[in-house]
Amino acid sequence: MVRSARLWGILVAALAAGATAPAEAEPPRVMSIEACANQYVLALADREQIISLAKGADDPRTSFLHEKARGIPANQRSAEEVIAANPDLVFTGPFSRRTREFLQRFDIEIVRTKRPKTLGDLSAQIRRVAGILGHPERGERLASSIDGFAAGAPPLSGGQRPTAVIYRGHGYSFGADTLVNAIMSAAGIDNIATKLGYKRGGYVPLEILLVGKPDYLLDDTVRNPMRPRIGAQIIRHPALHRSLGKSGRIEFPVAYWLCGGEATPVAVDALAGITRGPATPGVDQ
Amino acid sequence: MSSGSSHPMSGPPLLADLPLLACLAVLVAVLAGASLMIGEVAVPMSGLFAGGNSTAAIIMQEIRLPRVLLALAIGGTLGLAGAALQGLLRNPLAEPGIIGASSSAALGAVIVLYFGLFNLFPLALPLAAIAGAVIAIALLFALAGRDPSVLTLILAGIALSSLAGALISLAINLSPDALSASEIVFWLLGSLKDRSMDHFFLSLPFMAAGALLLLTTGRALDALTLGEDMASTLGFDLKRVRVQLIAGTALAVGAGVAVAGVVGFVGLVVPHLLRPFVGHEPRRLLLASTFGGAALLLAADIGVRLIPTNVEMKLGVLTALVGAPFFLFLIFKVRRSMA
Repeated sequence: MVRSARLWGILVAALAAGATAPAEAEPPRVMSIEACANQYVLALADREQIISLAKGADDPRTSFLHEKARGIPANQRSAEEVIAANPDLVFTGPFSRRTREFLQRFDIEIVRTKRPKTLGDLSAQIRRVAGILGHPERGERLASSIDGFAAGAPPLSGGQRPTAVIYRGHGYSFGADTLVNAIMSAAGIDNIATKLGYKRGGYVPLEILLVGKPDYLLDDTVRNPMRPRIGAQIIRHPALHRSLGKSGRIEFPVAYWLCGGEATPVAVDALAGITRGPATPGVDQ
Repeated sequence: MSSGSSHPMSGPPLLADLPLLACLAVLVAVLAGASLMIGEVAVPMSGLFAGGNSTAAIIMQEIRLPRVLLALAIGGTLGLAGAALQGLLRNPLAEPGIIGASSSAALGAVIVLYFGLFNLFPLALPLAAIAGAVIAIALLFALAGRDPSVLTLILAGIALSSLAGALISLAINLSPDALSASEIVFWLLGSLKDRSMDHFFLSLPFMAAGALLLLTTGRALDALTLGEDMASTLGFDLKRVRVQLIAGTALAVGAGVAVAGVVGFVGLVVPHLLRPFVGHEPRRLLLASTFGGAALLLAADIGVRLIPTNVEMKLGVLTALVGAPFFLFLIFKVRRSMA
């Protein structure tokens, strides 16, 4: 008796789902609880679809689409807020396993975004997210502009590609399997951290970096006066000043490269512009 | 080094110490050379004198040289401050770290780092650390009196260290995010990694002034071995000597902590090891401890780079691992001699 009642319940639910299917033109109402998921949602969803974004989406220092995010409610990235808001979908990043497991118990549908390792990964993820959000044409537009870069920049006539490195507090850098490596590569620049054998992120000792001799140091320039960083002192180390010369330090805000999305084509263009610039890399002494 | 020979007190005792000082100077030179040769990559020593912007020149001149100079200056002043404090308090357990000066200096530095004042005006860092050390040592004298027993001294030191520790914990607790908190914690462990000549020139004037103040207390410290009354009778203004020592120690310790974090026990171990070689005379101990402190910190800084740990070991952690057991051993020894 109990079993048949449960079966009956499932049947009713299935019918109900079937009944609402034709009226599916209504796009899902969504919520994002992760910084990079924010960027996909902002780029691909309608404003009305967004219930809230993870806090920080309106911070110009870290969020590329910060202007679009203005006025959209912020959440503190907690599962409780998701349950209370009861969205159709919640977008998470790759690492929030505990939150995801918790939300699954409440039958809330989760869309997990990954960290793309290549521009191909990124455009595939953009198409997937756009489809889920009900705007495949938007995804197609953005993804194909990124696919255009994925072919890679033609080698410079001189043959040698300029080299660069992302260098952050305490000497943290990003190697081969990272989006920023793909951005550099598409802009025609070789990543020193990749040459040194770094796969993902890792600390590159100052001496090792100097021996690698990058032409450019990409400074992520997140300078929040409320959060002073002792580790950021290394970026201003005189040894780097001497090695890089005047033209070797490039401000490359983290909002352009940490998360994929609308920022990515802009980032590739900006970096490519540096190598085409008047300064001849490598002879800045 | 030249400050010793131009010292108004230099006389026969210093001449008698020449062999010892020469040995220590050779040791310092050998260790400094070794320190220059150790790093993540092999760099020829010629880079130190090379012009231009070759990688070898940059690594030698901008990374390894400041590291060696800071180890020399900080180790030297810590050894000197330990010897001077032990002379003044007539107590072999006195040391900038144990009496709470180091942690109070660290508190001053943490406040500057935590509120980002360092980025606005780099001098804020040594000044705040020196202010922290001055307050701690002045409080120590208020708490422990002129002629503290071993017990009073250590208790006062514990109280001051606990107070500074509590306030540092508060700063860590209130830091805006996990990264700031871990940065403060790791900074406190003490290190000379990736420092620059800027750090050296920022701290050098304070350390030099502190060293000068401490080195010129020698005769008064010798007189103090006869007791305070005797020293006064011999014409020493003890109040002035005390102020000079507080200021000198605070300058030396504060400037050192400001650039390297907390590096403890150098001032405890070095004077103790060298005392037998200078006939237990406080004045002669001062210069010897300066050389000895430089040698010890250079050795420790070589050690942290050679010990094969996954993450580089912090300098203050190594000196504490060596120094704390030594402190225990000293307590046992002092207790036996008092019993």
